[in-house]
Amino acid sequence: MPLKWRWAIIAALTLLSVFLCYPLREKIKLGLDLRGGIHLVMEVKTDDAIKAATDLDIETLRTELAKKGIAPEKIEHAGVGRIVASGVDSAKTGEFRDLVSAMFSAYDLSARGGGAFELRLKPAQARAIRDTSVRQALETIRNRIDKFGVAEPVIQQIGFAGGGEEKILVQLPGIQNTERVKELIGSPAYLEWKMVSIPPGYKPEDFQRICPTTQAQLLSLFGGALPSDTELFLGEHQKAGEETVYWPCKKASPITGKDLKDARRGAGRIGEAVVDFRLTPDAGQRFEELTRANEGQLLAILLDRKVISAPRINAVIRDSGVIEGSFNVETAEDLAIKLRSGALPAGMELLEERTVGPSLGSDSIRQGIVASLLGAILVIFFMLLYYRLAGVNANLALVLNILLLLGALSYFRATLTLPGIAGIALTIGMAVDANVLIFERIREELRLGRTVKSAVSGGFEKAFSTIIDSNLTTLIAAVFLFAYGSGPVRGFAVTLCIGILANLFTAIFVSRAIFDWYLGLRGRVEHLSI
Amino acid sequence: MKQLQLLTHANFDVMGKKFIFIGVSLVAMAISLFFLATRGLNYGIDFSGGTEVRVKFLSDPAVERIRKGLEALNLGDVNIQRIGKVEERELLVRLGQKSGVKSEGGLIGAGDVSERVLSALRPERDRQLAASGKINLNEASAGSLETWLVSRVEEGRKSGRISGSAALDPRAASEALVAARDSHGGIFHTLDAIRGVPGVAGEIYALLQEGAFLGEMAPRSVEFVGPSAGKELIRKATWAVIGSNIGILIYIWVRFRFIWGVAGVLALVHDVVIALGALAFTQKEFSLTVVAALLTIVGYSINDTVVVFDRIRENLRIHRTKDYEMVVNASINQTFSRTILTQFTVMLCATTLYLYGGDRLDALSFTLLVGFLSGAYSSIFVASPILVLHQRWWQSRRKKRA
Repeated sequence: MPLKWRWAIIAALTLLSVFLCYPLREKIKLGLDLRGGIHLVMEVKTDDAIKAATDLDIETLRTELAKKGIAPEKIEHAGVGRIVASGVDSAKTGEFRDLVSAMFSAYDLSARGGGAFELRLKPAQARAIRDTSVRQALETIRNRIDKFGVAEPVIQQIGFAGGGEEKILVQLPGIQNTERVKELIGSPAYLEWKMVSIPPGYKPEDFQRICPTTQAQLLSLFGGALPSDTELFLGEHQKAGEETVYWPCKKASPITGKDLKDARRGAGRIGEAVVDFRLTPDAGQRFEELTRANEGQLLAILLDRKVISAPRINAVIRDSGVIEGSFNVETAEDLAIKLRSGALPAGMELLEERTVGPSLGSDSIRQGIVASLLGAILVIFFMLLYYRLAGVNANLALVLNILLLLGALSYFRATLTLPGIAGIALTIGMAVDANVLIFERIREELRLGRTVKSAVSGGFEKAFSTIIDSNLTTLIAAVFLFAYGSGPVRGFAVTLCIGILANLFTAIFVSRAIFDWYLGLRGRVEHLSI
Repeated sequence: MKQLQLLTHANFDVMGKKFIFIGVSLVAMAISLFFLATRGLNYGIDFSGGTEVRVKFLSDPAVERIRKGLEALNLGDVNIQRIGKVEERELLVRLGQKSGVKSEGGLIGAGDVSERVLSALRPERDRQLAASGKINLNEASAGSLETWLVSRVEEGRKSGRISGSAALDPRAASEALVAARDSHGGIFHTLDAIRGVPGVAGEIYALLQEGAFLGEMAPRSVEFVGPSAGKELIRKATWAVIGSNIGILIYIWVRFRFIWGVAGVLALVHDVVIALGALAFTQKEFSLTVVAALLTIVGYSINDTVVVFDRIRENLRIHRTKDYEMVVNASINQTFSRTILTQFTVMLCATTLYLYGGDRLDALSFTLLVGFLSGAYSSIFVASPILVLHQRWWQSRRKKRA
């Protein structure tokens, strides 16, 4: 290829790289470990979703059986996706079987003998429930984060879809308040209104005053045992040192978070933070009936099965009201966001949390740049010292190498991580390797008494296969590193891979062009400074 | 001017001392394996699970108090170390994961771990001040600072302390404050430091003077990894190292010969074992980035081995009749300067990275340094002697058959 063309290619690539990576600050995307932010990996506990589905089916099964006059002694949940009905009247097993196979086709029915039957959720059905719950969780989290307002969030499912991976990755650059964010995206936010069961002989207002009460005390108020329609629920927001409090509430939840039309942070009578809510018209009607029938009683508001407040019903409430609790402005705002975004279908378990403050990130960037620059200066100085004028050639190639690397990183929108900076520093050290191989070869040829021109072309030709072989083997390891790593490590692999490829180009193509130009300039060259 | 030359006319009898060189390698590997067996690797939380917090302190941290507080959490082994310069007053606190400590369901149960660790680190004074409604300028995020300022400004307006007409921008002030804190290394040392921050003047400055305090500590990073992640990652890391070795073996097999690939990979195994041994000896934290360093060693160490192999192949073609061992020895000598020079430039960069790259890159650059050194040795003194030994064994077998 004529020299002119080669120059054109080199100039074009140089300009392209400069164009791609300038200004550096904007074009290179920094990883969370450098920029600061929160990285969370969560697992959706899909077993919860399956349990919720089977619980619902147990209730349906019970009512449907009752309609046919079948009353098994017990119908209960027996592990993930399994329902056991025992004590089915032997005369009615046929009917039982018919009903189950007609109405509960999602289950496989098997007899366990002695009038006991097991309903087992079909694997495909269980899979579908799990998938749906992960999708819903993803949607809900996305909703919440959108409403919270974060620039460039990453919210995605990770792992192989359908392969039993129920993990969700959330990355929020620039956010530091982990506690708040975790609470915001990880709590189910399942809201319920329940009537408080007042022990016999108490007026609601008196009970409100003595409650919170301990579990044992409560039981004694009810004469030793709770009514069958009542359950105990924990009160929320215990400060350290305070006793755990329990509220006796009815099992039924006439109104839940699903009935909400809107929820906003508001201010209470004395300016305290509360959440204002509005109900759908249909739920508003139910709420009106409920409050009319129970005026003067206590209505508990539960968030994730914990009582956050239990105010007395002073007036008929239709479609809008207030949730009070021990909120501050932030927690009230967050609860409103969660209520607007809907509840999570299942609990979440935190697998990984990484928060990096921006000050640490910028320290690391500074140290990384200092180390890389210092390394570059030492290498450049050494090449000049050892190879004289040819060292200039190698150093030009080195600078171009870094430029190409930065350009490629910008073009691929690759993320620069802390190990990635280390990768750049190493690339600087490796960038001159190919030049060393070539120059040593040229020296060898010169020692054999070749003319400068033939020594140069001989050096390049003979070093060629060595350079290809040695760089490709390095590339193999870098590719494995890319496949292995995630996040920061992958960033390292990316810089390494690009660095190797850029290195091949600069050493073989650019250095050669510089030599050819230099030799062409001089006509007959007797001596080569190498 | 005279050319600077290094070992250009080297003529070492490497092959004559091949058993010594291989012996040195075997001893080094044995020592490495010994440390791996006795001390083991110091797995970071990436692999073992646990919590790692990096905290800066305003005054010299009371390490013993902190240790006691953390041990009381009963989460697992407590490991506290100082990082950086003494005057930076920065600690790296690591808590292991006790098996059996399970999350209580929901994010809050598991996430609480890091929150509990932070509150155990926080001195009593900070807790009390925060509980009294003051805002901690060294820990508050821009969002919570803004919320606090907004409510204070509202209060001030109601009570008439702040005139209704005063144009105040709590958001800009909070963001500027947090940015200023970040540029101060994540911690304010005195309340005076906030005076010059843009947007923090007049009423807002007065509010902060009155209602803000400087917390004793500033968390710079918090990491929590659940107990389930580790085994999977170690398995994947092992496969990545094995896979890259097999890939390289196949490449060298295709380009050279099978046995050369075996020799090259044996040299790599040698380097990885020695790097692991050095990690076990120094007890530097074995993290994901160290795995990246190991794979880099694999990739880079083979580089020089291939340079030597290439020369051997070339020389074998030219000198068909000469003794195999002599050809290999000559090839090593001819490429000596190359191996040293290429390793030297990379070592320069790895060294500056180790010295100036900061403590987050410490384990990575240390592993690279050891691995590169070992790689330079093994490229010359391990891989090629194996070729010669194999050749000898093969010839003697052929003779016996004949």
